[in-house]
Amino acid sequence: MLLKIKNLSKTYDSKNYALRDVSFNVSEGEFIAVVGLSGAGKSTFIRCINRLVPFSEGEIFFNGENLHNANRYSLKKIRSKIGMVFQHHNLIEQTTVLSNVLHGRLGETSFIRSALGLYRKEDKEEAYKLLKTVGLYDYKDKKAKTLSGGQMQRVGICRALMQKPKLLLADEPIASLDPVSAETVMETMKAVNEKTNLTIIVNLHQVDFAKKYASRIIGMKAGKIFFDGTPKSLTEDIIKEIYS
Amino acid sequence: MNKKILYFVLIAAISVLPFIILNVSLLDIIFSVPSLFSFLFDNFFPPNWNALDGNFIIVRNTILFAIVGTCISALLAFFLGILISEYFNPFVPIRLLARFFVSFLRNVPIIIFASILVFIFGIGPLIGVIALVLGGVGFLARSYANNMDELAQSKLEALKSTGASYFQIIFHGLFPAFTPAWLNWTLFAFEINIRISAVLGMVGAGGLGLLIQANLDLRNFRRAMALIILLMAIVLIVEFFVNKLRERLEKGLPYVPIIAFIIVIFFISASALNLNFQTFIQRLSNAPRILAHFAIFDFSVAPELLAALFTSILLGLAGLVLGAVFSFILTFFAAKNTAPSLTIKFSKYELNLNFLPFLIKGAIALLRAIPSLVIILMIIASLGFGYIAAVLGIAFSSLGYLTKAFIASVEEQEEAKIEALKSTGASHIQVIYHGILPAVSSVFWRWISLRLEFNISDSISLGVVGAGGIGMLLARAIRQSNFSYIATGVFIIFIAMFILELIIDKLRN
Repeated sequence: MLLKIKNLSKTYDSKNYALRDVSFNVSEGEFIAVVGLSGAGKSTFIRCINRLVPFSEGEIFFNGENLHNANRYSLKKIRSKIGMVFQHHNLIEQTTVLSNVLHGRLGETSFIRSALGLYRKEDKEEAYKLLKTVGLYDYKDKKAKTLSGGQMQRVGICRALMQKPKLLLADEPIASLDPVSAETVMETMKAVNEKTNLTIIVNLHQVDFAKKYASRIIGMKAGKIFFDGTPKSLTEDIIKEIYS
Repeated sequence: MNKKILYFVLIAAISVLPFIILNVSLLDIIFSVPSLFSFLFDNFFPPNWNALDGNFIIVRNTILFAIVGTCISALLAFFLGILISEYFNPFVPIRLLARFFVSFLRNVPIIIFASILVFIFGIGPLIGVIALVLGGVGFLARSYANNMDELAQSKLEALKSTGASYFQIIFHGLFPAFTPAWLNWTLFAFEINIRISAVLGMVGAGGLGLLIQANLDLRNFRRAMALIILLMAIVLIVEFFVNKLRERLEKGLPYVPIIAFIIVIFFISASALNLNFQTFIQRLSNAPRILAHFAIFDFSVAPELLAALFTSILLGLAGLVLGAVFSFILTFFAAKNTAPSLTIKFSKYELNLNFLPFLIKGAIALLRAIPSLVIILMIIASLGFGYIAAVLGIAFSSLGYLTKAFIASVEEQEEAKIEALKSTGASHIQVIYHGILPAVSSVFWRWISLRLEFNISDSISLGVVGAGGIGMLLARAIRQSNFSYIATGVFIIFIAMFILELIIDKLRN
């Protein structure tokens, strides 16, 4: 079991719960889409997995390690094994595409090396390879801000994959993209999932995308898991229920 | 990559050269800081509050100068702004003339104007007001004009398309649309003027500066400190209320009553100051005759003046380098999104250092409340005359200014980008270096270049109060009524500052 979540709860003000008693397990190679209304707790949930948001109650085991007990050093190690893609890509726009991809290696690179740009040779080659697979190799020396939204998101995925992650988290990666770019981004993630058996958890608010690409869908409502099953078993009625 | 190295070498050279040419060692400067603080602590504290007795009028006048000076310059600068604006003044010769005049006012340090005015008109409150008006117009007219041109390109186009006449556009378009910016810039000028008003006294133009300098000269440090603390309190209180007013205005407080209120305050202040216009006008009739003296340049003294100016520039630059380096370091300990959560463990005791940002921000706010010339005078009083005192004084005032600006820029950065780098497992310092630095570095350079202009102006002014550089030569010439020397000096300062401004503008773009 790659990820084991037991009775996870999160509250920001000790009154209202953003997450309430969430439990489930993830095996290697799954492509999970989390759907639900905005405000249902999808974003908080995905950020608890790498403790960008500290959770209030419950336990998370990633690869057998308990996240709750992790100190600052081991937390960094765990984070470096979990890649993350964001809605607004969150690239450092003033630096080059290549540097942004190489940022994925920061957790494994000392400050002196990263500051002087002395990334390992195999890291640079890996970055070239990843950029080639998403078709952006020719843009590697361009400033990130010159790219389109869809291109930036693909660079964001490269940065996450650069971490050689065991798990890829994606928080609304296509929410601010046009339909064509959204397709490309989802295709890219699906391809990675199939080729390298990388486990992916992605927050989406478009159910049609979830049904098309995911192998398992989790529906969240008011901080709780409302549905957990295959895309086929997600019926129109359940969808209505989730989005009501 | 090569370009990067070139920039790096260039910046390193510009940073190191002033210290080499002035022949001051960086180590000497840094090691003099502890003795500076111990001197300040031993000799300036506790403050002797008796110094405030009987000086109420002078303190009051310091505030009133700033109010009256700012109001008059806001009005004059509005008309000059229209004259400078490309949109509102199609007559190129008049525009260039106005631009030249404003640029002259902006680029010659206000202390120099004040000391020349004292020389022409004698000592008195009116001189303080006039000096503030000259400096205020120089600062405001350009800011106003930039804003007017921006408005013209956006909102006023629409009015023009309705067939409105020139004066209709000004009355129905420019007045209402420009008022928020007008008020905002004017409030900003007021915050600056309250500091300047407190130093004008040093050259005899009345106000708190006279008392501070006299007490420092007589080595009555505890009395001087009481006055400096009073000055800091005034500056902080003024800033507090101006900020409150700004917030209210942003939330939609109507402008018209505020402006009416300001006008009332202006008349009350002006009458309280008891400005003696009659003697002023009498003396003014002499002005053309005196100004005629200034029309003669004496370029045989130019080499001497240029060498002194060069020293002033180097002092300003050296202070900038020191101030910028330390601001840079302090910033990341003080900005709320980059401050490390430090806990020092000592056997079983734990010391939490989360108060560090508050401490730094508080210290910087206090430092900023003291006008740079006063900081410089305090340091000169402690360490004696010399380049070390001058550089350190300029460095401290740069530190206050830059740290505040840097922190604001860093705190503006989106949390999301920091989060993204954290999620890769990057360390704290990597998040700062790879995530925040690329985003803020160009803004940082802009602040540094802006500060350079202030620093050079400060280092010229500090000569006027007796600390070397071109300012000292000018002060001597003023005492000796050497008109052609003064004229040449002011001209050289103007040209140098003008060129500097052009270079910095180019670099900024």
